[in-house]
Amino acid sequence: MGPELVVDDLRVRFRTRSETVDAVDGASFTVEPGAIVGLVGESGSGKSVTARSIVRLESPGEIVDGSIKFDGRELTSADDRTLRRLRGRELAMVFQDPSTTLNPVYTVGEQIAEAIRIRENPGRQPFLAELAAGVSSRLRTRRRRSEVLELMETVGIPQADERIDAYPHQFSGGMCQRVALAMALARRPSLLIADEPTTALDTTTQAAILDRLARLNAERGMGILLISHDLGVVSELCDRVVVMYDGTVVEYGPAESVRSDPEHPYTKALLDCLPHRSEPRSRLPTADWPPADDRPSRSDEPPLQGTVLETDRTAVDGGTTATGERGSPRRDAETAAPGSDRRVDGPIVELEDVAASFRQSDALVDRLLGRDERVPAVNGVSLSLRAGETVGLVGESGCGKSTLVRLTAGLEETTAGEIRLRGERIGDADSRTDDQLADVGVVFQNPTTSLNPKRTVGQTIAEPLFEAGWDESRREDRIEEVLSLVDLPAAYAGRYPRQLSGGQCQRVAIARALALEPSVVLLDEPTAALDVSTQARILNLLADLQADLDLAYLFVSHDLAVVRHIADRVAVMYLGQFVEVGPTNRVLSAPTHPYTQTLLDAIPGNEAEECRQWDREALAGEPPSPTSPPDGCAFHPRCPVASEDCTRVEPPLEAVDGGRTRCLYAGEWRSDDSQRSAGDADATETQLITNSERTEPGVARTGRDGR
Amino acid sequence: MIRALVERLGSLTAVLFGVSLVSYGFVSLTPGDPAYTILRAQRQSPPSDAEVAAFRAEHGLDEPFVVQYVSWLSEALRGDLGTSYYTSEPVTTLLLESLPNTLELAVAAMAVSLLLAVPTGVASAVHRDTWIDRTSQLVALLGVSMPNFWLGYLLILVCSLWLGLTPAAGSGTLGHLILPAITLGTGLAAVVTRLVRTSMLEVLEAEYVRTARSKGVRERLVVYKHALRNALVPVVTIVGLQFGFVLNGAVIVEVVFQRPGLGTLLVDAVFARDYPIVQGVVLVTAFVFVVTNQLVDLAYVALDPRVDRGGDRA
Repeated sequence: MGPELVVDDLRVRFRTRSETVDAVDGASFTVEPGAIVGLVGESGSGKSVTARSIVRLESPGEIVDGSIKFDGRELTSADDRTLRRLRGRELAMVFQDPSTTLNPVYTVGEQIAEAIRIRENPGRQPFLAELAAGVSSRLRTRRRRSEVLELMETVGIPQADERIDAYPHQFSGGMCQRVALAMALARRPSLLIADEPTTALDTTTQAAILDRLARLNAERGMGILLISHDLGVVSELCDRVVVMYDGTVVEYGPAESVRSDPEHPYTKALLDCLPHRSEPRSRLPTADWPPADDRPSRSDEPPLQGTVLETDRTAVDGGTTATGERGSPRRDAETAAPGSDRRVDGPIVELEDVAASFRQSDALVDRLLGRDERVPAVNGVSLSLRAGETVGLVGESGCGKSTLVRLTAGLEETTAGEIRLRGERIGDADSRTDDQLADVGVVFQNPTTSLNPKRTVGQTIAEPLFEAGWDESRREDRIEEVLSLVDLPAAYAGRYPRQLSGGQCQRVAIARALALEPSVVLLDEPTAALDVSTQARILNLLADLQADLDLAYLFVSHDLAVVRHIADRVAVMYLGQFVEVGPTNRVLSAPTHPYTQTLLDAIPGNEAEECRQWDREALAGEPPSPTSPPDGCAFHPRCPVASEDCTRVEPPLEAVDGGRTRCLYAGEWRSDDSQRSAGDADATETQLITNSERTEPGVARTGRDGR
Repeated sequence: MIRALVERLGSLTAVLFGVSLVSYGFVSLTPGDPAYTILRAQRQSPPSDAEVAAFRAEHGLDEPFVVQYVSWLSEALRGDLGTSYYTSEPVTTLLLESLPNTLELAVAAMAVSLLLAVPTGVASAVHRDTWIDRTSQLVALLGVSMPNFWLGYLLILVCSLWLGLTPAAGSGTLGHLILPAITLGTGLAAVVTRLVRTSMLEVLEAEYVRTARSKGVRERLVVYKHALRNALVPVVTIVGLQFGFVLNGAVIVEVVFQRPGLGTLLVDAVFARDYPIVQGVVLVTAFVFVVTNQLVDLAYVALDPRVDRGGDRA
């Protein structure tokens, strides 16, 4: 078994011009040889800095105290040579965002091969030879090539032989992360430090990468230190868990006991605010431990007036329980708020057969020559949205869910079909009337980039009001009003986004969306960039606003747990089409489309009974390219229950079990699947017979050919 | 590939056409009658009206602007850029004689500037806020601020007259090239140093640089293999545009060092109102500039695989 890592009372300090911050303030834990240890915490907890300090990449921070011992050697005082040796052979690190951690100008093969060369001889690294190695776009030596290929296969990169000489930008995020993993494995490390390795990835890809890590751990006895903000991810994989808060370790113990019986109130609060552990549409507890006035707040949201702890958290805030719904007088006064008087019975927004496609090339020459190829992004989507209703839109990245939001908001033009707002057909934003524009609000994913850094909160919220022709005093009043709606003090109108936390920024973005009293709010991954506790607060806020203002939400998310929590209905999107639409509780508990099941299985830490043990590796295959969609059912290349028919017949979206599903075997595969996995060949046959008796697919096919 | 080549040729033609029209127009708009000036210079006495009229008729100067331009253009398309008003030598010949000299100077100056700027810029960025950084920044500031004709005279004074190391004027040998190349190169080096520094500082913060360090790569290789190539991408753009600056500077530097070349040819022609030569030099300069920037685009593709290869996902 490999060596042990012992971190003892580590302190890392960051000095900036104005202040010094102890990002890590006395962290101690041990990673036993071959163990998987999770390091959990929210942003600003110091978990990443701790991880980087282990390989001594803490810069610009500096280690001011404590010790890091690996294999008995002290790392805090190690010289560069020793460190290079350790990094090249013992301690490998994988970082968060695969799109930025690989060097864009070298082929993946070269980047992996470099790691192999360093492992073989960390001391040598000839300068000119290394420079020359990067110039060629092909790995030349055959021996090296086969080593690299072997590593690429180990981490699950299909067609490695074709991809070895490709550049990182030609890879998807999941594949880039596999390359990073291959680079780490090239060093045959005894400890792998993975800093949020799956945060930037789709859940299906995340599941596959986590499986891969677990397998590597089991096969090679390689220890893993897994840093994550997601307790679900950590508890699924890890033997032991370290929970960090504000630079210190607050809990450290076996994963099972931390999960089922957390000792520390912060851990408990962190677990409670995960949406997939809560009742749908209930209020989520939020983790504000310890009460923020205890210590100088650093990165977490400072407490705001009105945001008192919302559930029975007596243990946490030491007796000062502030129970109660937020049905404060202020809020009651606003229940008769604008929006409700405009209520209509029919759907507010209807999409009918909407399609959109993008030009592949913007070159004028291409357009003149008629080589104007278009990539379909959304294809034949129909959906309606009623007042007070939330529709969740889920799917992997690139499936067209954000495009659908942009179409509805008028930021893109539809190429076919129509969008109706209160029964009237609407086009893109330019052609909409002021009232129509006011009726649809949009909140984007990343609050820190969707707000203009040069404008104050007040100016940001005033912008739509100004465009709609409100005079100044009315604008001022409205700014104050919407700020109170999103639970921000009126004084925040004068602040700039950089003075706010991520959650507060998102509140401002929501306030801006609400400024013109819309009846529909489009939410494009509004909590994806936030910490779990902040996410819980924002979800609660959205629920309150919906109840008060009778808003309709179109809620886009890749996170099924969040969607399950907030949505009444859910639409699952794959390759620009809806594959399943229906009531949330039915779709997410008894899905009728295998793709929905795939997404459910991929939720980390999901041990509920609806979880099937399909091979995650196969499911995590890339979605096919929208330029050349597969024949038949778009999902068949990844589908575990696909039959031969699926490769030929394009299934229609048809009514099944309270919703609509686009699958030849809608619902049937659930029972068939068990037979199949028993290895019964008859099951396949039965399926084929059942299928030939169906008429709809045939009809659909003719329809398609007739075009 | 062929398509890309055709596209580039197309844009080159369009640019050259525009340049020729504008420069022809401006030359015609300048005050002073070339016929009068030239005849006066040739005869050493004021020419008669009849002589002037004869000269104008001979060189087509009495035609309307459009007719003049179209006939010049049609000749130019056949490779004939007219003849000098003075010596009656074909402009094409004159250009072909001086162009190599100027290109030699320009390329040497570029080489000097890059050899100075890239290592200095990298060192500056790596040793940020140390004396190395401050000194190189100060030198760069001096380099930008110093007019190159002044630097040229200073170098002649010190290196040629006091130390007797290099010839002061003329062309032909490597010794003749050194001082003009340094004079012209330093100004550019100063700009490029600052650019390399800024670009490197940004790249050194990049996550892939951290990844390289985490692999155990030597610091020198982290800088020169992983960071520099990325940092050069924006630098190359500016260097391409700065080639125009070098050609401009060559005009002055050639005069200072009395080197034959496009600069000397142009300056003489402008004073003498020898329009066909002015026209020819402008056209050739534009041509060189456009071609250089096309080469820069190619360098871009070589440096950064993401450029122009967007479509093919592996």
